[in-house]
Amino acid sequence: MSQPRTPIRKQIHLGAHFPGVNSTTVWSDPTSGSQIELSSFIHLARTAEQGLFDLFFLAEGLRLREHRGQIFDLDVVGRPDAITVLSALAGVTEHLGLAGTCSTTYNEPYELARQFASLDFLSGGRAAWNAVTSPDSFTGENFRRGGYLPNDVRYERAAEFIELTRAFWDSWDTGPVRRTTAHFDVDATGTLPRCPQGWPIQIQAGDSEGGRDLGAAYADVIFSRHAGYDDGRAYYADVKGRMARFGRQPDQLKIMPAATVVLGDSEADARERARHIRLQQVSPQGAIASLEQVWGRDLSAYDPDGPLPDLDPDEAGSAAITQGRVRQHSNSRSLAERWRAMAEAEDLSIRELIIKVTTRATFCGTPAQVADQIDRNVQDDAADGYILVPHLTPHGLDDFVARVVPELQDRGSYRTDWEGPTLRHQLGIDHPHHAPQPVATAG
Amino acid sequence: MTDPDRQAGPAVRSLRLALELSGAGSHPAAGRHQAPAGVDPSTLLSLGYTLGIAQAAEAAGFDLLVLDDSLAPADEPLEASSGRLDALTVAAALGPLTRTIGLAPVVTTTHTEPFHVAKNLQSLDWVSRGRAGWKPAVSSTAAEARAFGRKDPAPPAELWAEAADVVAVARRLWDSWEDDAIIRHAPTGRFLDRTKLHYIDFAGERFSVRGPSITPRSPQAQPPILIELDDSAPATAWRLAAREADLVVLRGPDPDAVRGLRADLDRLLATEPRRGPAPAVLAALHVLLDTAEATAAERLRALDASAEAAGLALPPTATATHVGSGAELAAAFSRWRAAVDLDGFLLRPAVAPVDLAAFAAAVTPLLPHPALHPTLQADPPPTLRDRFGWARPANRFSPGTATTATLESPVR
Ligand SMILES: Cc1cc2nc3c(=O)[nH]c(=O)nc-3n(C[C@H](O)[C@H](O)[C@H](O)COP(=O)(O)O)c2cc1C
Repeated sequence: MSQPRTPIRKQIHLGAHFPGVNSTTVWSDPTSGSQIELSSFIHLARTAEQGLFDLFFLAEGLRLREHRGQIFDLDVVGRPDAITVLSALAGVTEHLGLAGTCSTTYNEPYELARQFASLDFLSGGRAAWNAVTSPDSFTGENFRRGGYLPNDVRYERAAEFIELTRAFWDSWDTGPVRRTTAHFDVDATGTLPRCPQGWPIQIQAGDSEGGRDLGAAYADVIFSRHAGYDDGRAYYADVKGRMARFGRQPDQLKIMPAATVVLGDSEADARERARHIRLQQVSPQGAIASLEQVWGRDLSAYDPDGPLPDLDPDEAGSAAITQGRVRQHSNSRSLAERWRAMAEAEDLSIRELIIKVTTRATFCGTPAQVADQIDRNVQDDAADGYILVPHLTPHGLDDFVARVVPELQDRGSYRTDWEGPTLRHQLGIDHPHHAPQPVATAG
Repeated sequence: MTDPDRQAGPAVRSLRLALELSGAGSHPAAGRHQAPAGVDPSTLLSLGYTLGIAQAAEAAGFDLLVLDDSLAPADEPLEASSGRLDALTVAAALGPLTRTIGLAPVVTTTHTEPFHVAKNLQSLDWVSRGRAGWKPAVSSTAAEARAFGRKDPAPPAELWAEAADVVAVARRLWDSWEDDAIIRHAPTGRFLDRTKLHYIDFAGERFSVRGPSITPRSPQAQPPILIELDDSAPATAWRLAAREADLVVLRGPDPDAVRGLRADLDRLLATEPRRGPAPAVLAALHVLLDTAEATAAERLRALDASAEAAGLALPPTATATHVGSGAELAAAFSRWRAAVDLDGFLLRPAVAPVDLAAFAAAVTPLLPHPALHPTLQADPPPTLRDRFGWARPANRFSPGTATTATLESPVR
């Protein structure tokens, strides 16, 4: 624990993402545990804490995904509320940041500010909020407003929302919050004094122009999809370049893309494991469903081990076929053409093609190789660190913590002890005008 | 834990005790005295404070900890003791750190989203391994309405009609997954049997909710609902309690008044449609007990004096208050139960840690202690429903579960 630190080396920040409700998560493996029992959350959180991670991360989806008009049944489904789980983890962890995703579209600032401030008090300054705008109006059918707000207006609401939560967090010092904006009309003092971190850590995930501006303006951490070297560097330069416009310094924001890791005893072993995991992630039925998302029509008659369909995609069908998840492409016809060309050139079946075009592990190799890859990316400003998304619940990061973390520490780019009691300390991001305060504890 | 056929055993004991925690205690000056007479207000917002209360209440044999809450904005003067944490978030933090006590936060229904309320309580049930309860409350002030800016304040009768809609939505969302919906069937690639998930399609006057929940059916399936009534509660609240409450708390100044409330409740129970067994009925009591340092009467004088000095309103007299020794409190329990048909009491300690410690020292030894009951030593420990002797309910959406139009229609 007393290893000397080389101050010039940029430090890596790590987060642990609880496996999500998507095809990255493998449920068919014999070691795959419950996605809902608290014991699974505790195991992953404690693993992350052993690895001195900055934070533990929970995603959110407020409506179950549907495909071809029915609840999608091929991936893990069903999860608890993020803030409730994070609060349960507050008392069984000590240093780990507790990050929850909550929509700015289907919440209200007064209440959400209070929930995150409560989490910050209960955890002694470890709360973080990932503000998302919810990508679809389908979700709105579960809420009072119904389907709500076109996409381009959502970031306007999100910015106003974040401003208001900050005003409520400050309100015992600065007075009642009285604001009428395009989306809100509120007048109140929050129910709580300033929380230990001043403001909980702000995370942002969302990739459009609006999303990038929101991140550059408000985020302490950005959770991005750009985990590769080249796209990571481009994204990093783009978003950090936007910060000056909002009067912020680049080091006030940590960019932490989502990343997956496959480890092996040798490079060949790791590649073999990666291949095995991808076969698990893309089941025959899952391959057809992925294809249907692009083709926009029922392809259940096709053989997943056979060739791609000859027929052309239905563009409108593709936009509507899956609800409750962010669409990853904008033009079905050109994507289908590319896939067909690729499948023909390499003689790939439907399933082989889907495996090829999706779910590739970000980092793959021996622990030393993975540590080198992560370190290089961070030193070269492709990222400030990563939010690791394991494919197995709850043991998916056990090996990483046991085998890669020491390698990163040996390279001098990863902490060997906690930086302080709060998440702001681990991230090295000060509150703009307030030093972290310890919570007084009873007797 | 989620075996739907599990039968509840006998209840742990016949006297039910709930403790309601409201900040430093129910006396307005509770946060103005240092220990041992009061609570250091700077500790009130720490997990350690509430955890100390929860663990002491569990050890003293309380069945249930109710966590008071409201969305009322803080009032001037802003003092440490007037800060209020979100009760459900606090209850969740207590989940893994306690073992057998029920955890029932107040969660309001007026400005909140019914979908969030339902899945947050379900999630509390998961993180407490089946010990969640819910005390619904409404937000009737203009100040609360202005904090959200979405709708105007409304009279309690209307707000409780809305609360009934929220309860209806919650109960349906809690059943929107059948217990065996998760199949992990590798040969067909299906994680889920989607025929066992149900849209609830609730459409009321005030909102509609499509469902299903994003959270699987929880250990208790239906966390117990607790509703508190007094003679000023609107008819809509009474009707909701008669139809849906698992626990009813009656609040009156003395046993005679509470006997009248109990008779009103019984009349409604005889006529309102209801699923499941009759509710357990508790009387609300403020308690202020003798301690080693001072008698209850001396403590009350000191608390009242400091409340007066700070210009704080004295405690309301509409709720019965016990000021005296622990032995007298145990005798009062018997006297009340001789006069009124009651399953037990919801106690509001004047100074929470002080009166709880006094209760544990002087009252707990006089009562049959539930911790000695074999059910509570089982591993895993019983759920809150188990503890009250209530079976885990059948799923209203499962084929073969009878439903009637009356039961499904929201209370008006
Ligand atoms: C890495 C990443 C993770 C995300 N996680 C969530 C999530 O958990 N829940 C959610 O509703 N949206 C999530 N989003 C969606 C965004 O908040 C946003 O709604 C979506 O990306 C569409 O906005 P955009 O057009 O700016 O990308 C995520 C986005 C990214 C890039």
